[in-house]
Amino acid sequence: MTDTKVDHEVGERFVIAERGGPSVTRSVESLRREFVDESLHEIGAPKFGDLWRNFSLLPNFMPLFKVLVWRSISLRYSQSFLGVLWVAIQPIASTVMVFFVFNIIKVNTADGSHQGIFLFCGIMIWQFFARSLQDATSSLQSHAGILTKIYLPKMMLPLASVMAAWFDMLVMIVFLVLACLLFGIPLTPRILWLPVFLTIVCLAALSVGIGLAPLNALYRDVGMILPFALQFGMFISPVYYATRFIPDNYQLLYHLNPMVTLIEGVRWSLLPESPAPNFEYLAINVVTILVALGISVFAYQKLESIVIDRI
Amino acid sequence: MTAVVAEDISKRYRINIGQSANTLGGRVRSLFERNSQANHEDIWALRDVSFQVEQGEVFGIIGRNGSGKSTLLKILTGIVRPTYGSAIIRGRVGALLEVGTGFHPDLTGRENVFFNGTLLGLDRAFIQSKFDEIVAFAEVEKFIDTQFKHYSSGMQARLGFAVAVNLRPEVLILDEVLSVGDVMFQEKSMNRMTELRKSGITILFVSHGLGSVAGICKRAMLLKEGRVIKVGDVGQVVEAYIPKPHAGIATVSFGDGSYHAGCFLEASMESDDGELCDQFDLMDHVWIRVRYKVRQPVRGLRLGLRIHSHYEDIVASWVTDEQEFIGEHQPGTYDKRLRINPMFLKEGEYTVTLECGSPAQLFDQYERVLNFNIISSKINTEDKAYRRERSGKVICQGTWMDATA
Repeated sequence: MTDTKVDHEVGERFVIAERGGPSVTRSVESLRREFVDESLHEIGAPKFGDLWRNFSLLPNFMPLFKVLVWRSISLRYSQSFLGVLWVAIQPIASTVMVFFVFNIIKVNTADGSHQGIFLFCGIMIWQFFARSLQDATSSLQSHAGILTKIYLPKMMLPLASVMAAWFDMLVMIVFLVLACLLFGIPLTPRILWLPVFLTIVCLAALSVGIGLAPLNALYRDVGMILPFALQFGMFISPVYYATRFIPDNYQLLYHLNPMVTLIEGVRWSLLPESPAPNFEYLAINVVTILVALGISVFAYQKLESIVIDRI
Repeated sequence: MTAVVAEDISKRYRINIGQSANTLGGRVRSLFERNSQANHEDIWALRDVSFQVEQGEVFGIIGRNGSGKSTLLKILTGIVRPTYGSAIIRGRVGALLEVGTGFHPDLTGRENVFFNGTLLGLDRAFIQSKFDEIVAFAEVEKFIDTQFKHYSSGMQARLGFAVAVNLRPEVLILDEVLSVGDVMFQEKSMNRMTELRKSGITILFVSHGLGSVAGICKRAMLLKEGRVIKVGDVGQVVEAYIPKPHAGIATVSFGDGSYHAGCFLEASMESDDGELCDQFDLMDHVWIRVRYKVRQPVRGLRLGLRIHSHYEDIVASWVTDEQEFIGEHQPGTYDKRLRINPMFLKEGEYTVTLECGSPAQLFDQYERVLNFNIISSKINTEDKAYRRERSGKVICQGTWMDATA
């Protein structure tokens, strides 16, 4: 049963929708047309333009983002006695253990004489990558409570995890620089490359984390396989040994792993004896990471609405 | 001015039957299985829901559990995406689907207030300026810097609510949050709702408390199994929701089986001339007659009658100990009548609950056993103060006069 009404104020014809019954006198489209300059909160089924809309909304949610990062950090160290110091103690302890073992079996895996710092660099970077990837992957699932009750651009959650890991990283860098000074290693201008490499590590973690986060929220297997995958990754990265140990015919394959170039780069920026990383390989790695990031973001968009339904 | 328009909002959930659904291995396996289609089931949580809310209106959404109310709110807030259909909301949206979202037991009350406030969309500076007020509202001044896990559940709810009251959106969406908490808390919630209603913001309100929905909302919508059954004036929608009591039960008798000290035998509604009657005029007396039996001497026997309205609210109740029955009640059968004065109960449908007991113990109770109507055939109540749709559960006598006299 349809009916037409002429609204003299606006001068448009409104058709009372058939299905809605007599109480719905306006259509969504007419509202959209009438209030063009107002910011309207639009609701609809998932469509292609969502990606852009999500990104453009991110600035509005900056305060929430900051609070999320802060909360992740506080939660980690809230009830511990040593608090923030734990950030540094973990890698230092690992370094000391491995250093000790390598000393006993009389193996020098480093490029130069400062095996301790060499190991610490590798361990620090790898722990940052592993930690941020694991946190990012479980971010959606662990914040399920918030996701089902509050509206927020969901990509913020993996991002916040990686940012929280950044905080840990900064603390570790401070210790690292102190250690360098302690051992009498001169700091050269090469150190300016350090933030560059660290940013790329960050991007690498994001490029995988953003894609894995919704997958893990849907299928818990992902989060369980990840530690094994990271273990494997650690052995094929120069965390405990220098790249010179890899036979020449495998070097190219080896360098497909972005962490290889990145760890080498970090060592090069701090230790005068470390060789420079191959910048061509670095460029290829960066491209790989960016492509992976693109795929992750795309996958994220597709899976986002499914995750919310099932989480 | 229209604030909210929804057009054919629908939401389908695909349920995967069987345990293998949630693991990657399981999904891969089901891909190979021939009859993998049998594992899916479509559930439509919402189907073609359309409605419209004007600015400044308080719009109620009612329905049974599972009728899709919460899903609809989640879609309107943007948390869940509809399968098809669209909607538009004009203005800043504030959604309160849960009190205390994001509260973490290991953080202090202070940190939780800031986090929860930011989640709700409040500005950090704003929270800072209202912080003392929030803490005072929740009455947790001494504990604000201790870990949240040490708070009692009442304190937790109060703190969550104290933050939530500071929401100042243009369109507010509430999901049954007002039924949380103890009596004091509920009172505070209702006061807050009234304040909000007066401030002219648009409110979409889901609740199971039909009394509060009928009291606060002007228009409402009834959902059943995801579809809109009725939308419009709140009185009509509530009537469509609660099945009406059977028209008029004027008399009821009970078996003699109970071994308690006192039990009801029979109860009936009578008119002035002693005839059984289930419909009374506003101007008539309403007589309720009960026959009951006492088996042992009882000190301070009490009879209680409660009148309920359609919305389950208790409209009035009478207990006998004020007027008589002081002293011991000897064994025997008694026949008493209660007279309700005219111009007391408003027009409407009512039902009666009977209770019998002593100060220490309840002997017998029958809920909603009699149904009767009050109508007005002699007076046109259209412009009277005690018209049915006006506030107030019963007709109260009062006279206006000049202050100077």
